[in-house]
Order: sequence, then C-alpha cells, then structure tokens
Amino acid sequence: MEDLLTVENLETEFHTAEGIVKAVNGISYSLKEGEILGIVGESGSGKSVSVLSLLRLLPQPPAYIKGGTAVFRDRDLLHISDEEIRSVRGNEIAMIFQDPMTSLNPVMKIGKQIGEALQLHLGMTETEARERTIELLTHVGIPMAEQRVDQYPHQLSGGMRQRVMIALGLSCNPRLLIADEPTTALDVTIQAQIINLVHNLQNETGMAVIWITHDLGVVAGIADKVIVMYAGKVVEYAAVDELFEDTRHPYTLGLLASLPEMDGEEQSELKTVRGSPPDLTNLPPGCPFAPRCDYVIDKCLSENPAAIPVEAPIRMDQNNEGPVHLAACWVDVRVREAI
Amino acid sequence: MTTNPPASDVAQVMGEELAGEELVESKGFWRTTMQRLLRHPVGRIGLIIVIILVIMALLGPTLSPYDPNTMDFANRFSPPSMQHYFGTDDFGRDTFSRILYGARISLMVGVIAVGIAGTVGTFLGMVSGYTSRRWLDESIMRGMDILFAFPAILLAIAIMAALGKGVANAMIAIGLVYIPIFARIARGAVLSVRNDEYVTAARALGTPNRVILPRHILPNSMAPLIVEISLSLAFAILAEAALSFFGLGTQPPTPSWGRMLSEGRAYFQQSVWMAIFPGLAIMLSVMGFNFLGDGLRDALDPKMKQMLEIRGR
Amino acid sequence: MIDKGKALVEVRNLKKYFPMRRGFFGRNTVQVKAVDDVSFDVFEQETLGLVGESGCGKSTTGNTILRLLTPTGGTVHYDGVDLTTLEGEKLRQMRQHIQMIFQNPYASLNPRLTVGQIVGEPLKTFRPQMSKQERAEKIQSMLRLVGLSPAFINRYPHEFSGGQQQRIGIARALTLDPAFIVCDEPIAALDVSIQAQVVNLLRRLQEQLGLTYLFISHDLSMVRFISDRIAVMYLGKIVEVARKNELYGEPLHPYTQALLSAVPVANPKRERSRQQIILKGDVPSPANPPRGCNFNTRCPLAFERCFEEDPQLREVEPGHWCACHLLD
Repeated sequence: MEDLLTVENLETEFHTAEGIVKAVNGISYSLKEGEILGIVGESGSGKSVSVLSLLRLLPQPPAYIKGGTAVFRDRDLLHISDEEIRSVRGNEIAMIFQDPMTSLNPVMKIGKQIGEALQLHLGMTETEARERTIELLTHVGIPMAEQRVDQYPHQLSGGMRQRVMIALGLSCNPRLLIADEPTTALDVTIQAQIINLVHNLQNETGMAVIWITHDLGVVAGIADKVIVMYAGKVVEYAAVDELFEDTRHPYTLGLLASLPEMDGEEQSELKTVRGSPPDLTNLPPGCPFAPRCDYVIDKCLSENPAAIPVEAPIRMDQNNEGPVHLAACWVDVRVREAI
Repeated sequence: MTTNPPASDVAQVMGEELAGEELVESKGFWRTTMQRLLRHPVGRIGLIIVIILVIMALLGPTLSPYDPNTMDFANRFSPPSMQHYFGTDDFGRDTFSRILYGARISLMVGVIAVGIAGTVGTFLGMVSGYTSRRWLDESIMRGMDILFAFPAILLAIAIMAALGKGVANAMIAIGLVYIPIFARIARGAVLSVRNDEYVTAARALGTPNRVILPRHILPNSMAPLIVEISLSLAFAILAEAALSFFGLGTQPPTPSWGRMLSEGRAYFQQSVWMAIFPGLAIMLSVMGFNFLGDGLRDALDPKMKQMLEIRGR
Repeated sequence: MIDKGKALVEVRNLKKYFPMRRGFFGRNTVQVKAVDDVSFDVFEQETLGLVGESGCGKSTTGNTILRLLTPTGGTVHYDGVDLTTLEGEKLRQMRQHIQMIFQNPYASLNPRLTVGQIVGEPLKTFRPQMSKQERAEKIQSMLRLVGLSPAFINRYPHEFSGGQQQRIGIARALTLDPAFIVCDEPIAALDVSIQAQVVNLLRRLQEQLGLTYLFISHDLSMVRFISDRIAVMYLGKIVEVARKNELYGEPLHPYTQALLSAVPVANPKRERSRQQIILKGDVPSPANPPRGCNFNTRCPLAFERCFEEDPQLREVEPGHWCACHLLD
C-alpha cells in the first residue's frame, strides 16, 4: 500500500533571545492509509512542534522550518503555497488539540463553528451544514444534539468539548487526523470514552491517525506503530508490540521501567531516569540522552546516532522483512555491547 | 505527640545522591526588565526623555547660563540667539535658564505628589484587596469612587481653592487626586495575587498576615504599580503646569512651565517664542513619561516577554 | 502493616459547601456540595491515598482538613485536637504539625524570594530565637535532605526544573518536623521521568522520618505504589475505602471498577484483549447532585433503590468499606 504521509528529515528551529532552540532535529517516519501512529515524548521532546510544522501552523518567525520534506498524497506540505496548505487544513488533514476550551471559539455557538468548516471546504448551504452538524454531533456521542448545536463551548463539559473538536475535525472527511494530547487534560474515565470513540470512528472511516501523548499506556491501547521522541529526535520507531516487548532504546526502557505496576509485585522503589531533560539551546555533541543513560559508551558522547534498523527484530516473515523497528543508539541494549 | 527523629539528624544519615543538575542561568528581575525596556522602541524614547529631564532638574543650576530671575529690559522679547538659546521673556529673563529651573519644579512636584498618592493609595488598596472583611473593602472603595467621580484637574483646582496657592499645596492637591487610581490598581493586583498558590502555601505554613502582605503580596503586585507611577508622573507634570497656568500653583518669580506658558500667551503678539518653549517642554515631558510607562508595561507583561526577546535577535 | 492502631487524623462527617448565587439579583443561592459528609481515618505513619476524578472534592477535602478553607460542617481531629474549633493564634500554632505539598511546584514558590528564604520562612515564624547562623545551617540540612545541593540557597525558583522546585516545596514543608502531610497532587505537573524521582523521595522521607501522608491524586497507578490504603471519592462522597491490594484486586463499588478498568496499561496485548467498562455520560454537577446515589446516572448496575436512597459507607469486610446498595 502506498504511504499516505512520508516525513523525511524534518528540522524546525525557534530563534529566541536565549539562542536558537532546535525543537525538531531531523525526524523521519511514514504512515499508511488507516494506520494509527503514536508519538510519545515528554515536554520539550518536539512532538507537538513536529506536527504543527507539518501543517505550517507555527508563526515564522520565530519558528523556522529549516529542512526536510513531508509528502502527503504527492504534495510536499512544507513547500506548497500558503493557499494550498490552507485548503488542506481542516479538510484533508484535521487536527485536534489538548485544550478544547482554548481551541474552540468561546463566543461562537458550536454548531456555527462546525457549520463554517462545512460551508467553506465542502460548499454546503447553511441549512445543509446545520443538518450535517447535528448528524456529526450525534455520531460522536453527544446526546440531544439538536439543542447542543446552539450552545456555547463553556456550557459543555471537558469531555463534551473534546467530542465537539472531534466532530469538527471529522466534518470534512479527512484522510488524516492529528490529535495532539487530546485526552491529557481529561479524567481517566472520560479519556477511555474518547479513545473508544476515536477507535470506532477510525474503523468506520478508514482514516489515518497521528496520536501524540506522553502516556505509554494510551499508546499501547491505540497505536499500530509508535515513535518515541527525545530532544527533537526519533530515538525509537517500531510497531507497537515490538516497542513494548523488544525495546531497543535506553530512553524507552527507562520510561517503561519507571511506570508503577498496576498489578503484580509490591515495589519498594520506582526505577527512575536520572537527571533532567536537556537544554535545547545548548545540546551537547553526541547523543542528547547520553547524560542520563545507563548504557552509555564513549562513542555516545561524541557522535549522535541516527535511527537505524535494529539487529534481529523478533518478528520477521519469509522475505526477511518485518515491521519497521529503528533505534538511535550505539549500543545493543539486549547485551550491553556496542553494535 | 508522636516523636520522630528530627529531620536534620536524618539528613546526616541519608546523604543520598544530590540532584545537582545544572541550573538554568538567569539574571535578576530588574535587569531583565531593563533589557526588555531597552528593546521596546517607544519605551526607549521615553527613557531617554526622562533621563534628560532628570539631568536638567539635577544639574539645572550648573547648566544654566543665567540666573533665571535676572532681568534685562534692554533685551525683552528677543528671539533665540547665541546669547539666549531660547530667547527672552517680557522681563528680559533668559528663557533657557528658566526652562531648566522649571524642570526642577515640575519634577519635584511630580515626585512628591506621586509619592503621596502612591504610598497612601497603595496602602489603602492593599488593605482593601486582602481583607476578608467585606465592609472594609466596600467602604474604602466607595470612598475612592467618590474622589474618582471628579475630573482630575478640576478636583485639583477645587482643592487648591480650599488650601490656597503655592507649590506645597499643589503637591498635596495633585497627590490627593491620584490616590484613588493607586488604590484601585493596588487592590486589583492584590486580588489577582492573593489566590496564588505561594500565598496559600504561606498561610499553610502559619505565616501571619502582617508578614504575608509585605513579603509575598506586595513584591508580586508591583508591576502594574510601577507602570502607574510613570503614567501618573506624566499627569502630575501636566497638572502642575495647569495649576500654575491658572496662577494657583507656583508663584512668581519662581519659574514654572505652566506660568511661563500663561505669560507667553499673554504676550503672544510680541514674541511667539515665549510660549513655544514652555509648551514644548510640557509636551515632551508628558510624552516621555507616558512612553516610559508604556514601555514598562510591555516589559513587565509576561506575555509580551517573547515578543521583546525575539526582537533582540 | 494492617492495623496501625492509633488514628492520627480522624475526619468525621466533613462538609464543605460553596454558595453559588444564581438568578437575576442573585437571590437564588445554590450550594455546591464539594465535600458532602466525608469520614475517614488516617493511621500513624501510613499513607492514605485519596483518589477520584476532577470535581470529586478530593483537593477540597485536603484543603479543608488543613483549615485553608473553613468547613461547613463536621470535625477533623488531629492527635486528639479538633481542628475545626481552633481559630487565630491557636490554629496558627497547630500548623507546625500539619503541612501541605502543592500541585504546581512553580506556583507554590514565591518567585521573588530565594530558595533559602522560602525554606526558612517557617523558621522565622515559629523559631524567632534561632540565630542567623543556626537558621542557615538548618536550611542547608533541609536542602540536603531532599537531595538538593546546599549551594543553591541563594538561587531563585525559576532557575530550577519542575522536579527540583517540588523538592524545594517538600523541604519547606518538612522544616518544622511535622507529623502529618497532605500531598495535593504533588506529581501531576511533572514530567513522567521526574515523577518517579519525586515519589521515591516522598517514600524514603516517610520511612526515615515516620511521616503520615494523605496522598491526593488522580493517577491510580502512582497511588497504588505509594499508598497503604486508598479511599475513592465521587461527587463529594467517599464510595470505597480498602487496603491497596484489596482495592485493586477486588474492587466492590461499580465506580471503582470502572475507574480501574479505564486506566490505560502499558501492554499492547493486554489492552487489546481486556474488556473495559466504558461509563456513559458525564459527571453530574456538584451543585445539583442526583437524588439517591450520586453515581446512579452512570452506573451500569443501578436499580430502583439507587434512585431513592443515598447509600451509607459501611464496613462490608474487615478494613474494606463501601457505599453501595448492591452489597446489602
């Protein structure tokens, strides 16, 4: 199957008074139709900046997309005209954000906000748009949609608002939905509802999804494949089962180990990743994770590893091909030896 | 009461790994504010004007070529020249020297008036904002509202009418007029800060209110007050000029820009220059303080931080 | 560590209502029942986890216990003394023994004070007789205690990372050797890789100093790690209290069951195969709780009695309390 989206060597910087912040340092990945990609990282990893760069939603300056390509259905999103990218946004690629309170217009009725998108991108009339909006709201699980359509965002709960955002995102039948930490601010039971909803919608429409989160549990439940980001780089890129069962990067290992168990043995202490995230204006030479790494060797301090295919991935088919599994590390963590 | 080993003893025993990670190097509050101010185009101009004004005020006597009150009837109404940079007035006194001395008056009145307004107003505003006694808050604010209801300059004139003429009374009048604004700003700042978590933390620690106000609340509500000080200095200069213009403030022969403007208006036929220079002086000073205030407001506003920092590149 | 014996903190029928004015001239006053008749004990040197989702009243409970809010009703006994009856100076003196660690590490530190001034504040308040030298020594030992270098004593909060700021907050809370600490979502604002560091620190300090914690959080997996017993709150009421293994292994209340099943597990195969209980609808407003059991609008197992009668919290098994009609 053809790739829907291929990102290669995306680099984005911010020019600030304190220096140049290298937010995204050359990341590459691909996504097929109907696939769900999870992007995992902590604050400062560059995960949000990378997708905002794809849709060119960062103000330039202070941001600069320094390099790379992002080919979506035969067009390079980073290099098409402003008008073209505007027609892609909300239409072929939809995006939902973490806080629906700030990403929905507080003084506009929710029906109007969705209707606007329908009229703009699909050329519907006002009546058609209203009907379709009510359909969409019901579809995302908002009860009494005919009344809700005339309400304002502040009259809805957090979970409801997020559903409205999803309805807005889906309104023009996008091929790709980008969700930037959509459930981070929601309670865990509401999060479960929203994840369930996105799963169902994705099954129905066959759209691809990029889901950004810092929560490995969420990624385990929703993604087909995962990229783990650290200091603006992809440190591991694998199918979801492989990421959890055959982890190859020390940072991913650290993250997994520091999660408390929901069941099983009593723990007396949580394993931690020592140190703190790096200063993006002043990255050391070599691997940015080296100061915190338990597997570090000399080479790590001077040469920055690129993400390369791992040795002997556990799943291979007859053609010696398996799902992608790349790790940016000089060490084979299974045996603690240089690769 | 349960007894636990004191924390300090345990510290000796534990001596665990120290989280000695690198700190983010950072400069102090005032230095960063100054840097941001200097990058603000309008604020820069304001700062320069204010500095010039202060120099004029401080070094007036040294810089002025003539005594401001020396009369020279032979040279009345002369236009600007090498002997008299700004010309002379109806008594032949050197306008330039009088402008310099006038700066002292303006600045002095401004500083004292704003000092009165600032101290009294801030105190009332802080009490009003922090107290949990509704009646106290309400009565203070209603008192302020009453003062607020009058247009500032009219109120100043009315107070002067009651107190009598003179520079000292001018300072009091202008100060009184500006108390409500400081009270309101201080109250607003306190209201926004009093629910901040570090204030709650201080209460949880058992810190008494009389310590919380000066240590926690005041330093963190200063930004809008600093801006207001600059803006009210602008007003004070204007007000002093207005009062002197009407003959209520500074009395002759003390040079005051407002007075000079008034005299210049009377003798406009003989010399336009008499009015122009005091007028310019008033205008530029007021503008300078206003610009400075704008610059400070943006420099102190956390959201504007990014804009000003980026421009610095 | 089953029965600790002595209860250090006894909360009985605690209520905190917030009046909300509605109507044109503000004539209708609705009561937001943030904490509605809550009772529990915290035993000496244990950690009681208090969990629930946003709006359930857990943070309000913590604030009310510490008298940062005035309770609308009920009592809180600390070591035999009823905190709800104390006022003014007596209350202030009490604060040496009961402390709080806050959710937002940066917001809980005065940005204009140095670390030394922040950590030393309680000393200035309650130990004015200490000399400057003694105070400095004490502050330095507190910093070392939480794993920060004493050299940082003159730095400002914004120079530190989130995890370090939280350590400063912890040092400040421990300066007067308190016995009871309310931890109000202390790690929620921190990055995942830092959360474990701070939780480990809290755990170690508890063991070494014999502290008693009320650990308020919405993060069920973290709560499991640090708590001995756990209380679950929903819409202002406690619905279940149990020792941790029993709560996580055999939850009795339908809300607890749904809550636990909603927590994502970092294991793709488990996630795919398990059956989640997906609750319908949203949490009702605490200004207008439903008649009968608060959970009846979303409970998959609700029956007639649930809509008429509010269930009481009862000890259904030794040490395991639940408020549900299904167990009668």
